[in-house]
Amino acid sequence: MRGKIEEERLRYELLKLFCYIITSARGCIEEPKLYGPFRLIDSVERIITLFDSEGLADDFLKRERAKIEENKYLVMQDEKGFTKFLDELVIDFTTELKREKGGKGG
Amino acid sequence: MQVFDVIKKRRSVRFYTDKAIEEDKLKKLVEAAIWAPSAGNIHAWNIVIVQRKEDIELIKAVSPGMLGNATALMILCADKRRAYDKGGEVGRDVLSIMDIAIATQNICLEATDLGLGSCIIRSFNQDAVRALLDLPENISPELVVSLGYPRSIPNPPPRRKIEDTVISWIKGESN
Repeated sequence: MRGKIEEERLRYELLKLFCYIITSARGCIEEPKLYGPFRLIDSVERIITLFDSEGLADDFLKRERAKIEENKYLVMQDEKGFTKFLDELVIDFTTELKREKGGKGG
Repeated sequence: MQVFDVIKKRRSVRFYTDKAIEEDKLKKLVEAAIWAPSAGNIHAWNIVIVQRKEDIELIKAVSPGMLGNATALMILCADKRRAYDKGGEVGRDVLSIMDIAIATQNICLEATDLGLGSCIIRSFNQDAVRALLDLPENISPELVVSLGYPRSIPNPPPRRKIEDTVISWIKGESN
């Protein structure tokens, strides 16, 4: 069973993540268009990191986080490369979702 | 280092070692900011320095543009009241921001010369940062500089050429 201190720590980490997502949403109204996809993908990385801190990130998620960390900065100098990276990520996660559904007998 | 070497060596660094920046170096960076040109010598800037890890994390939470693991932050704020009192509306709305941008560049160049990495951040929520730092209404956070000893330094991104940048060059008789 999770202790109170662990729950408080998780809540604090979640609040920080929500602050990041909310301030990103506000910023995206005026910021450059490409910042939107970057913030979303950065959010995925942060969520996986949070999962990992709770021992919930499997090899797939850890691998994808590493891929995001390696490629997300393409947004600043290689828009085509960034788009290609997002396309690959879409396929990675869709394939995993399909595999997961298959594993659940769906 | 020669000035031009420092200018070319500066990168936007986001990943740092855990080593804390010494106080005398941070003071040197503030001094570099102070010596920046300022419209009308108004100097309508103030700086907040944050080194405590927990507080850096809080500011990072409301600063989507702040990536990596800075060990110190300098938050450059415009004193809007001082800027208006001495420079009117243009002073408050335009010049104070320009002055801060120039002072920020001074900080980053001095940081480079001191062996520090830096990154200028504007993607942060000003109201949230003001609230976290308990800043008065007239003090407006405009830019954050993340700082630390570089763990890795990114390659320089491509730059536009001189001939693409200068759109007109009206030469004098002696040219």
